[in-house]
Amino acid sequence: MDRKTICAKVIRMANLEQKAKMSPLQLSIVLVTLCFGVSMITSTSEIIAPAKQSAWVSIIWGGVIFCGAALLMVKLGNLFPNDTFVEYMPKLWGQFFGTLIVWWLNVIMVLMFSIALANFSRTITFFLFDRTPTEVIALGLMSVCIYGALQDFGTILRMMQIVFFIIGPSINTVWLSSLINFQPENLSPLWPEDWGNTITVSFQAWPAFGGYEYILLLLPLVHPKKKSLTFSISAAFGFIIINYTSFVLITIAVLSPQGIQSSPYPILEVIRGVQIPGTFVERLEGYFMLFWIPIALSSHLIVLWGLAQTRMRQNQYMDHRPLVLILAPLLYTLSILLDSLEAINALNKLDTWLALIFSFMIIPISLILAWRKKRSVPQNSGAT
Amino acid sequence: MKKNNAKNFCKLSKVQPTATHSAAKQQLTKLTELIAQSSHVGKEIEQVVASFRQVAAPDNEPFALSSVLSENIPLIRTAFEDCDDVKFRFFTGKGREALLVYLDGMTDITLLEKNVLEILMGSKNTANTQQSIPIDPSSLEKDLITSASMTTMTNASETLDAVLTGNALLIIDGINKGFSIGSKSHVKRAIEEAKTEAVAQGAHDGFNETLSDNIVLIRRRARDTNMKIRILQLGERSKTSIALVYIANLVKPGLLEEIERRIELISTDIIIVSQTVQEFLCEHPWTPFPLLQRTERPDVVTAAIYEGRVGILVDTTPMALIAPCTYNSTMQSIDDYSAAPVTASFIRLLRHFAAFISIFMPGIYIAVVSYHPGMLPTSLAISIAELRARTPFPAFLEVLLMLVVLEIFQEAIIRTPSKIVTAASVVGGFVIGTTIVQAGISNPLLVVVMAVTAITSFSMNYSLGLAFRTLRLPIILLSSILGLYGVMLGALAILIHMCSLMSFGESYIGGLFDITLLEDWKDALVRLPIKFSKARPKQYGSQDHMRQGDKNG
Repeated sequence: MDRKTICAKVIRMANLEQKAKMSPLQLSIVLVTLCFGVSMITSTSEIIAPAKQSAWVSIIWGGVIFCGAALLMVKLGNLFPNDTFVEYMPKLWGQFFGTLIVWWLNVIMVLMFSIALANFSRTITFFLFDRTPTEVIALGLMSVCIYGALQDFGTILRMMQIVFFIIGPSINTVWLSSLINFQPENLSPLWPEDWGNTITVSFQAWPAFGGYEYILLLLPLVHPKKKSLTFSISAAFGFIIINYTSFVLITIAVLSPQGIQSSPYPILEVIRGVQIPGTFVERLEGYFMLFWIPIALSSHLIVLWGLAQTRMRQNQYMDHRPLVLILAPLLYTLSILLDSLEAINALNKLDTWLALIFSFMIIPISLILAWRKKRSVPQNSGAT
Repeated sequence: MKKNNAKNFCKLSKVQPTATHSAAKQQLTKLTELIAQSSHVGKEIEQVVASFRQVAAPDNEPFALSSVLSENIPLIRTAFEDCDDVKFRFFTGKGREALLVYLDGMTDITLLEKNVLEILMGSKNTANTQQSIPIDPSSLEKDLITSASMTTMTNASETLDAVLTGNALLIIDGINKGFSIGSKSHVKRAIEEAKTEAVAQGAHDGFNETLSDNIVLIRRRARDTNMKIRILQLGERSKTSIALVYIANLVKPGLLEEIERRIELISTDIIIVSQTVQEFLCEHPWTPFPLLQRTERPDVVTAAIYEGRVGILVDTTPMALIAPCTYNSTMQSIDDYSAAPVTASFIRLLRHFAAFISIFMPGIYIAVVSYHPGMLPTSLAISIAELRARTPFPAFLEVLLMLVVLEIFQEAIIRTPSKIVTAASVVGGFVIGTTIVQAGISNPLLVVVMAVTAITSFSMNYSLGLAFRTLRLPIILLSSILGLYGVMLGALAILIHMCSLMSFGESYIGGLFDITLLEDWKDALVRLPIKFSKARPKQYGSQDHMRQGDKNG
């Protein structure tokens, strides 16, 4: 048996080691779940409020812009195929600035996690348990999240795929039932009148797409197929854009921009309005929320796992699990400190700014530094 | 040399030309006597040499076999002291003292009479009764004993094991070896339908408690020289036989070695049930999920080994184990392949739905009734409230009570003699079910919920059904604390747990929704027509991937 055949057999063999890696398509599933997370319910109102009927254009623009940022990250990551950003940022920027950049992303993710957890617990409390403290709800999700983050990446990946394929169609079915109340006249004017505002809102739409920064951490886990990687990430963003556009369009059409401003959770209000008298199809928002919980958990889970992995790599530990147990109480505490909508919004804005600087300043400069470094190093000595 | 021999052994008339015929006859008689005497002397010398060669028994042996039968007898008697079922048959055969040791009830005496006693002692038809037994054990094996299965053994422990497995032990004076004569014949259950995996249209034969019978049931299904059966012994005291069944050119590389490695690490004195082996072999002994597939069906084992997996048969138990095991494989039934693909797919999906119901139904009931009645249509919510108004307990206690009754009832049915099962079912199902509602302890809706829950857990593999039954309680607790949110968190915790489980390096959740194993989806949640399933499941990593369209397949 020649080497090629043996290699083919080994690759075909679905063993534990193979499953610690993922395909580009699996990366796109992880990205979709990570980006949707909690923000699929909370972000829509944040985009519709300033952009009104042209929010759908802002979402599409935002998606394209952040997809571009994600592809830049892929380019950067491909220059260091076996390293995560924790390893190569200090090589590019020097030890101090490199570590600072790693911490920068950590802060973005910590804020993202805490805001998401705070938003999640508030929403669940508002719709399912009006007398239960938000801390209890957050603790429930946090417990399962810790259990999940203590596992290896293969476990998380398998779980995310199941969530994607079972929950994704279910939640979309429930959502599309709201087309019953679709009133197209609420969408006019469909075409944006103020393009400047539309584009500004596109950047403010980061919370809807936030999380793609973890490409920098996940890339070494992907089987090296550059072309399909670009395609997969574009496909993931395409999927997210289509879904958010449908959220925005249907929400505006059902509630109208004015109605949205008075509602903290417009998506759930839209679904609450679905009723077909004489049938079992009513009060669907409860089902929608149930389907939303696994997506929110998956998103939290990967962020917590990623934070622990980043710290593990920074401190050169062998195991990420103790770090999960250390980080979890800190994240939980931060989330319960966000006890008002104002505090959440303020921190959300800060997080958005940090993320925009990271995506559109730090990453392009890192890419330029990497290219320069690659050019300055003789070809036979490798990229790093 | 030949010339010298020719000189030495020439004609008598040539050596003694003057001798008469009678003198020559006398000389010949003398020569015959001399040869006979020298033969006896030779035998005695050999016995002396054998006794000189006798060494002390090694540390791990109870004693060393002697060439003198009278020395072996007390040793064997001591080993089998107070074992009244061990029979000793002394006899003289072919001029030698011999002993036959066997277990009463586990040995076919007719076989022994025919293949050993008649041959050695001589029957009416046998003329050469006085011919002494050849001293060479191999010639005894080749020329005399007519048993199909005969093994020469030098270790005392081997000889004792031979007796305990049902073979007869033959010891002959002058030979410091024992002979195990294959004559096992013990009471056993006939091949019957699998008790826990009945099927509608598939084969109806199931494993019994005899390893050799179980191997035959598998062998009959594939005339394949690549089907290998490796028999190991496990249990320091029980020495239970374990057979590893696999297809040499299909089994995933390294899997068999890993199973053997883990079996070698097992240190226990006795193996009673295959679950003992399973607990030693699997990676996560605390999980309720079966990490080795358990089956009573030979067709399931055969199908599994042709997917590149390994079957593990344990003597004295009808439950075979299959490694590795996935959730999907335990959710499949052989009936899925007897039905049309569309029907089979529908039934499979129904089975998965039943699995969901069997875990979550009581939890969902508590959550909806206690926390989220608003999720129900108004009319239904009102009718449930009316039903519940008659019962004094909160929903959680009500469900807990019914769950305990249900579990006790299920256990009782299993242990009840089959003749009164029907009566017990009537008492349990109808009498208790009806009166519990009439007494106001529970409401009719909950009885329906619990009945549906119980029935759904029987619609799948028994081990998996048990696992799901175990998970009901934590889900009930979670739902009573956090309602549907708790149920969902519990479901997600179970999902993460299932995703984290490994069975011999393979994910327990297997290729379920794994997009890198898209090929395996053809025979997972649904079953596509067989002509579309040309490949073996990728997740088991068989050496030859193609099942159809490949000469090796």
